[in-house]
Amino acid sequence: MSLVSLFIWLLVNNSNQNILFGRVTDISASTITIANRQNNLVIISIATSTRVTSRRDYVATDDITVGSFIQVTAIQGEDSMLAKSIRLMSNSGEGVQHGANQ
Amino acid sequence: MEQINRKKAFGFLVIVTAIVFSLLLVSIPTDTLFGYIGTENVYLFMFLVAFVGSLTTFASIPYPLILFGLAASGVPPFLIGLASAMGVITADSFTFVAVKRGRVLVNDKIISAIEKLAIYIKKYPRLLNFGLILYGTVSPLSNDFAVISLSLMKYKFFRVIPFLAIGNIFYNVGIAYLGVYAYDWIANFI
Repeated sequence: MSLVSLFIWLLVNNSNQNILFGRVTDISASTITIANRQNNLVIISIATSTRVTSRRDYVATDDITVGSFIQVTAIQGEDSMLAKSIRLMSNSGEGVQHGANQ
Repeated sequence: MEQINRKKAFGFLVIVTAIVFSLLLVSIPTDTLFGYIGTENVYLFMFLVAFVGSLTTFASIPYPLILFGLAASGVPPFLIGLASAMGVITADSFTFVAVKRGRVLVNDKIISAIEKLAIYIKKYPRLLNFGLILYGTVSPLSNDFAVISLSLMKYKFFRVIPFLAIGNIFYNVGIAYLGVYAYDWIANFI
């Protein structure tokens, strides 16, 4: 990775923006919890402005289920992270059960 | 003469297209780019992200960060590293061919300096294979430096890309395993 591309990337993208991947372990009306391979949990707030997509289509938050593998673009707030967008993805590899068992 | 002009025009078109495409990529936020990619398959996703991230030196996505995150999230590290390496190699192949086409546009002084370097490299042909693997594996610099220079030196595609590909596979699989074993440590450190 060239440092130049990283620099330009930071300029174009919001510096408070996080790109996260993980398996959904819990979902409520206002938050979603995802786990990584080591079962470390991250709780992310969901707002009405949060876009949820599958492939190129918009879907409802209800389509996210426990066990789904997702990519979240989240903005870091003072206390918590707010999901700007959530993308449903597929991963049939190892580590699948780790998060889902939480 | 007419053929040289036609070659120059084609080379010019290739370079202008590459610059415009590069600027377009830089101006697209990552989240929007992910939307364009639009696949739910993690391996195809990583392949395309690495391809876009490697297509130009100043591309918009630092793809190793995505690879690192995906591996940490539970995706098999070897396979996701391999998918990423394939994306990089495909992009490097495009660059190699594009530079070959655009060689007629490069200043004669630059060509002359590169040919002097080529004479030196040709003295140790076996070292080039090892050097390319090592460059692909450990160099923090973009592959473009090696790809562009060797393409300008008129090296054949199969003399360069396969060895760089081996290095890229080591590099990408290495980053993926780093995501598996060092994610928490690095996240805490940051």
